[in-house]
Amino acid sequence: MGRDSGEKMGRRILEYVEIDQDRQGTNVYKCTCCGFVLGPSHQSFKQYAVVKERSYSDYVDMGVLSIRSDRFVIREFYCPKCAIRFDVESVVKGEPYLDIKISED
Amino acid sequence: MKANSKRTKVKGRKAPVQLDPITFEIIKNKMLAAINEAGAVLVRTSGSEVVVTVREFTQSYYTADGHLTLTGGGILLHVKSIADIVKYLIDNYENTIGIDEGDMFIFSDPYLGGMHPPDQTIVAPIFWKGKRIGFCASLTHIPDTGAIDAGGFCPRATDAFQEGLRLRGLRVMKGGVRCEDVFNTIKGMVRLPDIVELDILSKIASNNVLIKRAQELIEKYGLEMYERMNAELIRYSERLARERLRKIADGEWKSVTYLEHDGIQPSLFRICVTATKKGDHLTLDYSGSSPQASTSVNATYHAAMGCAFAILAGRLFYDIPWNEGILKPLDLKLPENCIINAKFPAAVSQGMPSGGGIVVFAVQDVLSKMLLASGDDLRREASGVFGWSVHFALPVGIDQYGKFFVWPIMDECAGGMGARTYKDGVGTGGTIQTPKVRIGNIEEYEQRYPVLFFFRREEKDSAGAGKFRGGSGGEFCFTLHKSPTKYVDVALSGAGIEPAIALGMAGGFPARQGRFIKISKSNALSVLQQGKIPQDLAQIQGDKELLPPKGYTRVEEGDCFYLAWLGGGGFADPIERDPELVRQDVVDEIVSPELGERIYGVAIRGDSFEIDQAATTKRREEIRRERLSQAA
Repeated sequence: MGRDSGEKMGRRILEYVEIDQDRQGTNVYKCTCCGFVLGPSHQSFKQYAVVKERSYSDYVDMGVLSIRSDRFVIREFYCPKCAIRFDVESVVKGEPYLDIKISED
Repeated sequence: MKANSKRTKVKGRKAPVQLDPITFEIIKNKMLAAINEAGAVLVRTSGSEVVVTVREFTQSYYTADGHLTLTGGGILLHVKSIADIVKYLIDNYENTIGIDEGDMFIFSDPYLGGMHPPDQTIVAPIFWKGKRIGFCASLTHIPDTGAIDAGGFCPRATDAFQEGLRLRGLRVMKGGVRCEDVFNTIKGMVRLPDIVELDILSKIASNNVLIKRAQELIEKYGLEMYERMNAELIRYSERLARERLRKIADGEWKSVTYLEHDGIQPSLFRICVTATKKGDHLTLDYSGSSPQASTSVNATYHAAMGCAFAILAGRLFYDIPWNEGILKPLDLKLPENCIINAKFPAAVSQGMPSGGGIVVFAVQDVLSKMLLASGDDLRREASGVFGWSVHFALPVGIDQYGKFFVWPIMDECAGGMGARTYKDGVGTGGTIQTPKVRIGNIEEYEQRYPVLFFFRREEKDSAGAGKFRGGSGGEFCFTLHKSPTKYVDVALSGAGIEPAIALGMAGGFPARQGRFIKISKSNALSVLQQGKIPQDLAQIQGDKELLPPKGYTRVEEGDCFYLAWLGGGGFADPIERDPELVRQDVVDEIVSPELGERIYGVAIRGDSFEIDQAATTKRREEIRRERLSQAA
C-alpha cells in the first residue's frame, strides 16, 4: 500500500486526499495513502468516499464521546480501497456534507 | 518595510520624517513594552480575581482618529471591538461634551464594543503640547454588572435591560480628576462596589502608563515620527497580512458548529461559516446561521467580529503586529438578527461563551482546513480545534467570612490544544486567542470561597484521537466547606455539552464533550472522614445529575459539583498513530487501554504495558475491514 517512490505528489487538500491529473489530463481526487483514484475533482471528494454515519451513542460506547444525543451523528469518510479515514464530521442528522472547493487555476 | 522610499521634495514643504527599519522595530517594541507594563499595573492594582489571577484584560494604542495601531493584550477577542468604541467616542463626544487632556471615558455596552456587559473599557486621549495625538484603552472583565443575575452572565435575562450596566462613554476622569458622581453612581448599581471601583481605578492607572510611555516616545523621537510610526504600523501589518493570505490556496471551505440550549429549553442553534479565500482577500460569510434567541445566548456583531479577529491574529498572523491592518483584507458577512449578530435590545450577556464562543470553534476549523491545503510551510500551522472556555460556572453566595461573593471559575480556559500536523496537542495548554490567560490555584480558591476540592487534573480519554492526538481537557470536583448558608447557587453557561465541537481534522476525532454534574447527598465527606480523598467521580456515591448547559443549580452541604472541560481535536487517522506513542499515553493515563485498542488499534498488555504486536496488527486490519464492510 502507498505511493511508489519518486511518484510526484498532487495538490494535497487534506492529509489523505489530493488533487492530481489522471492519464487523460483530467483533475481527479486521489488517496495519498494508496493512490486510489476517487473520481473527477469537479464535485466533492466526499461523494466518492465510503461513508459511515453513526449516532453519538455508538461513540459513547466506544469511549470517544461522553454524552449521548439523538440529534447528532458522527460521519466518517473512508478511502474505498485502503479504508484510511479522510475526514470526520460531527453534525446534526441531515446536515449536508461540509464541502471543500479548491481553485484549480 | 518600505520606510526609506525616496520622496520628491516640494519647495516650501518640509520633507516627511524618515523612518528606517531599525527605528521602526525599536519604537514598535517600546510600544509593546508599554502595553505589557500597563498589563502588569492592572494585575497589581485590580482586586478582581478575573484580572489578578486569570488576566482577562487588554490594552491598546490608537491613532488620533481612532484606528487601532498596536495591542498585545491578554485576550485578543476584545481587541477589534475596542477600536469601534474609540471611533464611537470621537464621533459622538468630540463636538458635544469634548475630549480634553486628562479625560477618560468608560464603556460597557456590548452593542458598541466588547463581548458582553461585564467587559468594561476605559478610553483615554493622549495629548502632546495641547494637541490630541492618539488614544489608548484598557479593558477588564468586571465581576458584576448589577444585572438580574449576579456576576454579569444572566441566564434569566430576556433583553438587554435586564443585563445591568451598559455604559456608553461616561466621563470617569475630567482633566486628571476622578468624577466622584460617576464613581458613586456605578458603585451604587453593582453588587461588589469595592472590587468594581478597584477595577476602574486599575484601568485608569493602566491608561496613565500607556499615556506616559507614548509621551516619552514623542519626547525622544518627535511627534512627526510618532504619528508616522502609528500610520506605518497599520500599513506594515496590512502588507504582511496580505502576503500571508496570498500563500494560502484559493478556495472555499465550510464549517458548521452548534450551540445547544437557550437557558430555558434544549433549543439548537446552527453557526455556519464559509471561508472564501481569493488572492490576498478572505471573506467569512456566516449565512445559514440561526436567527437570534429570546434569551441571553446571543452575540453582538462586535463579539462575532472579535472572535474572528482573535483566531486570525493568533493562528494566522501571530508574527505580525496586531492592529487594524490585519483586518483590512478581511470581509465579514453576518446576517441581520442572527444568533451571532443580534439586534438591540436582545439579551447578550452569555454571548461569550455562547454565540461568540462557538464562532471561535467554527473559524478555527475552516482556517485549519485552509492551511492544510496550502503547502508544507502553512500546513504546519494547521491543527485540530482547540478546546476552549465554553464551560463556564459561576458560584454565587456567602463565603466562609460572611461576605457576598461572585466566583467566575475560568479553569476551562485551560482547554486542550488541538493536535498539530506533526505532533500531539498540549494537554490543558490553553488557547491562542487568550494568550496570557491563566487559571487559579486550588489553594486560593479554597482560601477565598467556601469549598473543598477533591481533585483537579487532566481527564483521561478527553483528547480527540488521531495520528497525532489533541491535548487533554480537564476536570475538577469540589464540595461545600464552611458555608454559613449551607448552599451556593451556581450559574451555568455552557456549550459543547451535547455537540462535540472541538473538532478533529483530516480524519482525527473530536474531543469529548464537557459536562456539569451535580452529586446530591454524596458520601464524599464521609469518605474524607475515613482518611481518604475521592480520586474520581466513580468513587463518589450519591444522586448524580447531568446538568443542562445553561441555567442555575443550587449546591448544598453534602453535595458535590463536577465540571469537565474540552480537550483538543485530533489530527489524521488514529490507526496510523505510532503504537509506541499509544503505549506511552496509556502509561501516562492520557488514554485508557480500552480506547487504545478500540480506536487506535494498539493492544497493550499487563502491568508492564507491553505492546502485543500480533494483536495490534490484527486489530488494525480488523478496523479497516469493519470500516468498509458496514458502510452506509
